[in-house]
Amino acid sequence: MIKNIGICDILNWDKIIEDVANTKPEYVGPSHKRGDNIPGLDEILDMWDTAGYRTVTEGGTVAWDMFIPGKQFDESIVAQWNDWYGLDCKNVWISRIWPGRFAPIHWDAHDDEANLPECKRYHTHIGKPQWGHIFIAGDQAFYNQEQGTTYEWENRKLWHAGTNCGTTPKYIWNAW
Amino acid sequence: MPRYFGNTADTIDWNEVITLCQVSTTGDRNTVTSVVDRSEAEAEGSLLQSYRGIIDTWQGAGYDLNDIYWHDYYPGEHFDIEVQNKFAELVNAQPLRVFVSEVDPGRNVPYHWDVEDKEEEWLREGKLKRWVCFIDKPRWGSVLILENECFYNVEQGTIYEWDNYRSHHAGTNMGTYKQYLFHFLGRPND
Repeated sequence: MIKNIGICDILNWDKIIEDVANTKPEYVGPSHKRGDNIPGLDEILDMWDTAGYRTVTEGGTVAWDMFIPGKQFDESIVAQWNDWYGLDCKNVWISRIWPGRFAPIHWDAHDDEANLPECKRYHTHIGKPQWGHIFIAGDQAFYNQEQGTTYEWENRKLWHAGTNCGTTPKYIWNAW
Repeated sequence: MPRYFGNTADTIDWNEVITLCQVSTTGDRNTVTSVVDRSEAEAEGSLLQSYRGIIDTWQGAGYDLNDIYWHDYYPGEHFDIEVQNKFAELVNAQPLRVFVSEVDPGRNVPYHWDVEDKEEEWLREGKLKRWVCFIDKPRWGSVLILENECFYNVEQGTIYEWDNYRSHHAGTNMGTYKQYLFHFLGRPND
């Protein structure tokens, strides 16, 4: 179950994107690999292997950039976003997908997965609608979403994916 | 905007068409290189500029052109010509270019319109229209963007008529099954 919880228009998303675009990402995903001891990871990697996905470093198309609060963007933005929605999300990041790149079907298996409780997850469309910017969560496709629109997921373990068949990089705010 | 036209699930066995495409080893593998080679060899004037325009757009956006490929399958060659005939009857048009496209997981056929080498010749005979049919069951992650609309989880057999046969579109696949679409460019009978 995914719910639209409104538009966060108190933040200057264009400026945030511009600032992030001028930094080097913290890392390029996926950060986990076969053999990492993380519950659920093998199932995701098995699906990718069977479908023929490969990372960019392996000659494929799987890659996304990760930007972290306190490093590539200011932590005060997280506080303002949380305040706007009355939330207290501690895990926040901005993801970027370049044209032609993929974050294939997955859920966000975490380093500390074995010790984490189930909780809701959120995503915000921080870029203006752009041709080819596509995001799927559960059985819903999100396209041409108004800038600042946020969706609440029932569970952070929901399967999702993103890609970009347009001509400009796609930025999404992620939180749980 | 694309217009819902109807559903063919009771008229055409699309599962059989997909199976035939899946087992075929002679599908037309399209790459940027193959498109460039064809355009340089066969196209000239505005046609050549159209091909180059699309590829320039992709390059300008930072696509790795080596990542872009897809397969096409043709009626009478890879699946029964009767499929084309039935479809032509449904949309009431003469077939000019008909094919099934196949996009692998992890592949995009990015923002483009379909440059047709015979467009001018066809236009001399009358107007052109295009339809797309979602021939597979809804598959997680399989998306068509056409004009300004995103098509996802569309019922098997559903046909949409394009607003313009030159409309921009893209196919993308972030799931685990190959994506199959049936395309029909034709001359309306009326």
